[in-house]
Amino acid sequence: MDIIELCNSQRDVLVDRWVNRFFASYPLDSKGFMRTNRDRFANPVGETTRIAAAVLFDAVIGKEADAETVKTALHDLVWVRAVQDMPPSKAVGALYLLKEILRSDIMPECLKSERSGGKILNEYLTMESRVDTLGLMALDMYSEARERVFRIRVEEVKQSQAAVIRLAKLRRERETAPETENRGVEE
Amino acid sequence: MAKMPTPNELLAATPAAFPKEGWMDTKPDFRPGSFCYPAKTEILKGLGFEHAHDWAPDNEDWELPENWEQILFNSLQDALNKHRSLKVFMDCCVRCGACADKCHFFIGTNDPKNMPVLRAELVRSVYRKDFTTAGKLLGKFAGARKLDKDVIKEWFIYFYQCTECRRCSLFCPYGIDTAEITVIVRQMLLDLGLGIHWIMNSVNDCNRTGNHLGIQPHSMREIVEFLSDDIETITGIRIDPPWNEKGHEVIFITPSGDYFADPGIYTFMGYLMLFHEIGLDYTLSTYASEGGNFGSFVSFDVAKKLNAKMYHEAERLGSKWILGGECGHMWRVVNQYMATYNGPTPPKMETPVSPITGTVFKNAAATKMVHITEFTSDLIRHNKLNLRPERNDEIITTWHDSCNPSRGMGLLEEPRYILKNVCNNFVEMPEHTIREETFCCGSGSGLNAEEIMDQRLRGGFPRANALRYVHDTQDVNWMACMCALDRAALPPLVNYWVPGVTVSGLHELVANALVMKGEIPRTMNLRQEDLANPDPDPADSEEA
Repeated sequence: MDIIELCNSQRDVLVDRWVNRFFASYPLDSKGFMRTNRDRFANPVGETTRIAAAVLFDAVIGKEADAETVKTALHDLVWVRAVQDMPPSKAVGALYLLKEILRSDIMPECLKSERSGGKILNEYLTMESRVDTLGLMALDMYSEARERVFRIRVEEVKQSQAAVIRLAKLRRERETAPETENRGVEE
Repeated sequence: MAKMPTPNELLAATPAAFPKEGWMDTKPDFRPGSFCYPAKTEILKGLGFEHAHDWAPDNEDWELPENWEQILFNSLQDALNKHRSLKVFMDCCVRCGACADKCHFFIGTNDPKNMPVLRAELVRSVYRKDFTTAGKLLGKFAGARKLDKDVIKEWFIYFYQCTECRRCSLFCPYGIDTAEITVIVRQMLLDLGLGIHWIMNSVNDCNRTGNHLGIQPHSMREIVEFLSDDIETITGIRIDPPWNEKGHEVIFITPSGDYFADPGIYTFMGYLMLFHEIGLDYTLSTYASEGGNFGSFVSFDVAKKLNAKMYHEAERLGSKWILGGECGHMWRVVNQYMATYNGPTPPKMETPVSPITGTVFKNAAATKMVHITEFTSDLIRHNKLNLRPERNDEIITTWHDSCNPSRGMGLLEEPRYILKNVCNNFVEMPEHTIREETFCCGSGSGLNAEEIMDQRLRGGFPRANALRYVHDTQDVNWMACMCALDRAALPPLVNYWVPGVTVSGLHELVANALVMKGEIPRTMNLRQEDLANPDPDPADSEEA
């Protein structure tokens, strides 16, 4: 049994525990709703998290995964959390808590004497490093999201002045343009 | 050396962590981004709020008037006397939780105090303490709590995290109108001198100049002239709309965002082109230059005052009825409040009849005011418009039901009927996110202030999430809506969550498709972007 098979045999339980670590960022009174409502439109934060966690878990354990799909899943997760009311460490940090889950449930299996020989332990360490990769990618995505928020704020301020500036420009054009009798309307 | 925390400790991510204190004792957090800027003292004073004072939300001391408890008690007593509905809402909630997960702010933030039931409980607990026997006797056991300054702070945070969209009311078995509770609590806060700049500045401008943006009459005319220049460039037709003229059948009133802010201006150009094409006998007004009513977000008295100008102007100009533009909360005010605020209508006004089709708008018999989508859909139904929807062929559009027209007046079919007639590609967003169950843009009721952008993006996420789905699965690249606040608030929302989707009003698309008598072949849309399917040039066909 290799590491993929080992993790896959407990996939649903492990993903669920990981997802609950993400939900732990929220007050207890909301967690029930986030965990139990499985409609992606009625519970978008919860379901975005759940859908993303499943994709990311498969990528971490080393299943064949399309790079774009993994990136999109991580992007969705991070961009949701980037505008939630929580510090950056919380927004991105829950990704790392997968390590703790894997260490408690998967590592003991890898250390069992019948699996000795080192191969599976190496696979385990490679798998943990993939969590770090996700963390690094998430860091970029988080800062991109925050930059977007601030750019949107700047644009909104500019937008509120845009009509005034446009009006001022048109006024000046009109004042400086020579008088035209026919404005292009057919008589 | 101090022990380093584990990641779990640092993130406080233990799944079964029970809160150390109950909701009544959890204090709100004030830091930049979590609150709107306060209203200016002189503005509130000018509007008659006697306890207006300088204060800052992130200061510990809000410098409330000395007898603030008495002021608030009187304010609540007054509201209970005036609004039988409030008394019912305070007493009848059984905390069934049907509303709990329906609020876009709760769904987007997962903050329990954004459950409408708990948001209302913030004030209900105070009501119980002072106004119910059980609360007076049993206190906390009866869900009552003593009013203290932290309660006021909590109200300020959470009642400015409600967009008065009324999605929760739709699911409440008693029909408790949370929007009304929010307005009343905001009024109570204003009585203590606590308001927000974004709303009260607009109210002040509207009070002074007739519109929220403070545009004066000569500027308004000038802006519309410039828009007419653009129409001429696009269609070759010069439109010169009548201003403040007496004796026209109709007075047209629309939100100021329509003639001032991008992308509202394209919707406004659409109105002008439509009216010109059908030869409507109408006038614009520089006094009734605002359809919206920011007063309605915070105070019934202020709302009434701002609303009054519509009838004043209709009466002064001798118009028989009012045609209203694409606005959201304007229609809630018109349908729910206008007749009681300022009715009955001036005696010379009549039940609106479309001069083009003869349709009698009996639904507007009390208010004498017709929504433009009712008017235009009736025109299309009677084949009065020559439309070329293929001009909008590069658009795959969906329809965002703005909260107030959809839930406040049931305007669901008319805009869709128009949209399907002017666009060949129309896609609905998923069930339970549209029509009566539509999700708010997250910035309604005067919360489209830039300083709370994170909150707006969270609150608007359920809407954006549904849009994202049709964008990903059916290539939707356009979202039409009929609310000026939506047209201001959705572009940033879309920019964050679903880049690649354009937001517009409905009549922009109508005017794109509208074939006008005597126009030049259209090569560009109202935004002066090239059309994928430009009109054939008649000269080419002659040569052929």
